[in-house]
Amino acid sequence: MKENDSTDFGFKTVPKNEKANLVAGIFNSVADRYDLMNDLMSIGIHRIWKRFAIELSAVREGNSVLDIAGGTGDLAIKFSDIVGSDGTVVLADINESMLKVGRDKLLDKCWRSNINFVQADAQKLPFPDANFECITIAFGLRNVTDKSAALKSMYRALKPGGRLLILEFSKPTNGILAKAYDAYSFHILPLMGKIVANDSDSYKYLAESIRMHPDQEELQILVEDAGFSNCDYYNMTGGIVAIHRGIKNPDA
Amino acid sequence: MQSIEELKIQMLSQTLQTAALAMLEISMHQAMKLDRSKCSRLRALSGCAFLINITEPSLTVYLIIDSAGQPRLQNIYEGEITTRVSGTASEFFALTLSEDPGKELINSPLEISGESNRLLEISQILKNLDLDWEAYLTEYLGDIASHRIGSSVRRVHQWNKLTKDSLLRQIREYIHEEARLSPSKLELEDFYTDTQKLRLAADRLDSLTKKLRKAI
Repeated sequence: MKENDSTDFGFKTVPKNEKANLVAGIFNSVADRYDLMNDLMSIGIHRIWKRFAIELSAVREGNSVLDIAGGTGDLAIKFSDIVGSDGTVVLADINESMLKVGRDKLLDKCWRSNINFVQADAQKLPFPDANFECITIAFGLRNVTDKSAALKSMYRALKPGGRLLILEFSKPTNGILAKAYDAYSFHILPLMGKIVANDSDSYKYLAESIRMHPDQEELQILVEDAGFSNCDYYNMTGGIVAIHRGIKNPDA
Repeated sequence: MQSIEELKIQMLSQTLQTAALAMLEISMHQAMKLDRSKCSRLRALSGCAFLINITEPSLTVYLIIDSAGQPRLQNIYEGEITTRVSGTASEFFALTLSEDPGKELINSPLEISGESNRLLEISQILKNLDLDWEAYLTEYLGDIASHRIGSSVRRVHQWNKLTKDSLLRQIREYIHEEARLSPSKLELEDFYTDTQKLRLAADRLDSLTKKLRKAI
């Protein structure tokens, strides 16, 4: 297998054209218990990370927001309240099962009519150029096969001056925290997955995919290479999670 | 330039601060649900953003009233600020304890810039929240149970108030009358009046002496 034709899937190397199906298999398996597992795995802290990402988004009333890999709609619900009836939120996810769970959840929560659901691949976003004021992708980028293609696609769909926010697991900045985090990820997480979701392999993949994902600095370079300017990132909870931000050039 | 240690503390405190703001915001929303009259008053302030800058310890919080009239608390806000208020934590604490936040805002050392009338308005609204806990309980427990709980809570509250008043009165009496550790308010006032009289008499004597010296 040529290097250019392969990509990582956790610690394994797989052909690029197979990764999407393998990731889809993982999410089909965990979709029903996704929210519960998120709460258990992060002790609810994922809500704090998402909240901070929303603050950084600077989204206002009337804006158009695209939430890629929006899954069960945590960010979309918040954005829906902020943009109000004059704005729109598009919840996009490549995975049908996740989109279905998200749609059902939002239906139960009486979501506003300003949320639209789209099954879309982040690498080939099916939206016109310069369409959104803000694009977010929370805990989704590491599952994308070609991250550079996805970032370029997001750049294209953003309006000039619009901002991209990537909320993703990253590299702890403290050595002791990193060791504790490793022990937690590779031992406790799969066990938790087995007990709660009867699926330890998916949570083993989660831990492995986090380790294979670019760290803070590497991801910032990828974002800059896609054309974004004023790029920066915020470490949360000692770097376990980082929020990267990039702005599309207002003259683009 | 910040040291690495300072940056690490800042990163952890970012999560904690966001969590604290989230909890406070949830409490505010719950309180708003229990006092519907304040929601309409807050809606009139929708679009306003208040920057609360605490200098000691250093902390910046934004209070934003969204289009639905709901208060939102944020670490970061890039929109236009309606009013900025800056001061130490103790100055803000004094404001929250004050019976009249408007008067306190004017007289306190807090620095205010922007539309101060909006700040006065929101501080009045938040200060005078009249929480209808019984109505909230009725939704879950029904009329009878919530009324009983409400009555019990009111009785406990009344008993607490009476006990506190009585205890304070007895401590005051013991300090002033029994142990004589401190003079009573009346004695103190008498003392101040006598001192004032003495000072005036001394001033008169002084001017009389000066007058006599000149005459001699």
